Amino acid sequence: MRTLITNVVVHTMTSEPFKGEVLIEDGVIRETGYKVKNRETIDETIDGKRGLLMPGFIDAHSHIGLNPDGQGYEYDDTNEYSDPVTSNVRSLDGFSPSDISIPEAAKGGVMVYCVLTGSANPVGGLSFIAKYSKKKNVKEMLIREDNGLKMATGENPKRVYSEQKKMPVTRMGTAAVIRKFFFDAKNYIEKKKKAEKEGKPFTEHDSKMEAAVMVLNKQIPARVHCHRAEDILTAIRIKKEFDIDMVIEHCTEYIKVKDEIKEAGIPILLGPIMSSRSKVELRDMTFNSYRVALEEGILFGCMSDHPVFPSEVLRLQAGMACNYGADEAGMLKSLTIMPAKILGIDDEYGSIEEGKKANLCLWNGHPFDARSKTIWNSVDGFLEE
Amino acid sequence: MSMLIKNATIHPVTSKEFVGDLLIDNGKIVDCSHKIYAEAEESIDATGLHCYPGMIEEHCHIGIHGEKTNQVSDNDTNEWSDPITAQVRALDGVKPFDPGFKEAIGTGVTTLNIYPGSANPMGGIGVTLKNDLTVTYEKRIIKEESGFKMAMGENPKRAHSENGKKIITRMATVEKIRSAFRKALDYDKKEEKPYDMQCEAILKVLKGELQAHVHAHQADDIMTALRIFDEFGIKPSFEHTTEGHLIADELAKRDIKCAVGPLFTARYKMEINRRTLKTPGILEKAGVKDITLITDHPVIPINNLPIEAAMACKNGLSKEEALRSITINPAINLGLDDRIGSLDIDKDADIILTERELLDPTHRILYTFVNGKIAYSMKEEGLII
Repeated sequence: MRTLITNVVVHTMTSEPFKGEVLIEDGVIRETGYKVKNRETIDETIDGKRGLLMPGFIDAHSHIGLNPDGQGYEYDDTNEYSDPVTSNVRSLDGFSPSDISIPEAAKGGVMVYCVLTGSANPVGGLSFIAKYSKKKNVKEMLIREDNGLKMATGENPKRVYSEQKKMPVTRMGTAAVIRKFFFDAKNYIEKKKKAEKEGKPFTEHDSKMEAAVMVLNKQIPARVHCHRAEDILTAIRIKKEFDIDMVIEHCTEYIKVKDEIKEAGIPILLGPIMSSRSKVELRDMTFNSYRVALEEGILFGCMSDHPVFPSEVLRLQAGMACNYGADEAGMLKSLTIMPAKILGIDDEYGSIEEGKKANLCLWNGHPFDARSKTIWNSVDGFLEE
Repeated sequence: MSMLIKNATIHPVTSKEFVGDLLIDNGKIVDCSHKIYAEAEESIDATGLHCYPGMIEEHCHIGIHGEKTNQVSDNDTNEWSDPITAQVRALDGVKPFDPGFKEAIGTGVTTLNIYPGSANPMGGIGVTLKNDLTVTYEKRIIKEESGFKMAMGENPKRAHSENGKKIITRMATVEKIRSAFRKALDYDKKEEKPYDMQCEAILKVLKGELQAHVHAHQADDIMTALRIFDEFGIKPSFEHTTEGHLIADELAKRDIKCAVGPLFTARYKMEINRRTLKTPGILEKAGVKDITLITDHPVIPINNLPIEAAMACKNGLSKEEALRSITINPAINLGLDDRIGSLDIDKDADIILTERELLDPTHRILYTFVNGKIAYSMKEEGLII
């Protein structure tokens, strides 16, 4: 199946936008250019009506499908708050493809999401990456499972566990719970090694510890929810102590610790900023964070934390950042190629380049303009008016 | 950078005051004598002014208490989820942008030791910070594990009778401490031991690598602590020591370090009913060495530190010891007297310049230097407190 998209402005995200064409073959981008050369046996031609062709946006921190909108307690599977450490749970196992937000997000151009567990637990659970599909079958959507381990600092674990009168009730406690988790994992590794050395079968499999081992071995990053400067610094301290890969989620007080973040080389996912200051730790929230992150040249993504801020309008949050001086092209990258890099899927997603997946949206105007909409995407085809 | 302070009344604290010059180079005091002829990049004519070492607060909760908002969500002082939380660190709970730090620098306090609170018989590990607000939090840390906080008396009873009824009486507080020490000793004896953060922290105390600082107000609580520590062959330091004057001879005979204060609070709980401003003077006369005064900020604000010394002096403490009690004595108490606490050559250039003598409550801080840099200038910033 070969499809030619003509009459579009192609926003590749890795080079300057150009007027031209894109050729897709079996779901993969084959060629891009002013006039594609490979014009034989084209099965379908799509007239882009001078629209803007962009990669599907990537929302690298979302609870879509895990906390389905408007469904209440019965469908909310975000936080397994039965224990402060639940690295043995996976967001994939709580995901519902029937969430009405999934087609809505696609309308807003969001075609890829990383679905994380919530922030009630210092160690929350494993996340996965999905792409938009019309089929209500998670198998069709899955890009990568167990791609990161969610952790949380700050207010939320304190609030949840002080109600339960369990550790942590302070930031000190949260740090201690996380450090203990990794020390326990090191003990677990030793135990396994010992069994192997003695030639005995290992009979104490522990899925909590297996997740920790993946982080310690740098197979997956720790995805640490931090709003406040002190929480970000604690996360960096833990990263250094255990030599692990890390992504800072939310990073609300980014500007206060921008030098430390740059020095530590940690990517961040900024957002949601377009929401209320619903708790104390959000007091110093500001759209300026995006501009500063672009000026500093760090790797970051603009994220929704859906349903806290709806994924469908993620693009408007990026647009608002431009109101605060952020560069427009830079903000587009924060919705595409940069989160793709953070998630480690930039070999297939995040830009319009030959060889990458044809995960595309066609816009009738710039996505940062609230009046614009997607008129076509690579999953649904042309959308009804 | 070098700086010459000229013609000040210099109070080295470790020796008699004199009129002379002080030379700072590369963050250290390189000379301090009647007349210095060396050239410096900058100089201050301090004629008529007084020059002291920066004050040291040995016991406060600045940053960990969360004064900026004063919300429960920002208070990280007490990890009250369990009576024994030896593994938590104040380091991970401090909010580096809390307003108390600025208040402290305007008061002339250049080093702050921050402890966890007193809800738990074993509360966690303290941290010592240089109060240099121009550098990042991590660079302010001069002792990552500065002391092991323990608590006797009313607070553990109150906290843990409410939370899960783990402690109802002083007897149970002692039992918790004794079992925690025993458990750590057993852990140490094990041939194969998976790393246990809590036991490791307690073992440092038992092996004399980390000093225990015991919150105790009443004389009976002090004596109880001495009895338990005798059992394990180690020596405690005391915090608050409110009824120290009732057992001054015992404390002197055993050469115990005592931090006294806060000296002016309401008698808001039973155990401070016999609080008196005479305690420091009585301890001195009995022969207790290195008496330290503390504010326990925010229990009373940090700007009371020199006023406490003045009031203790008025009530019987010698002038020399009053000055020492907020400078070199806390340095000795924290094991940092090789680096800070007096105006001696090769020490860190943590210095204050005042209009009048420090023990005069109208002294007014004109400059605070931390590591040889001006950290506060009244001329530039106005009065902070």
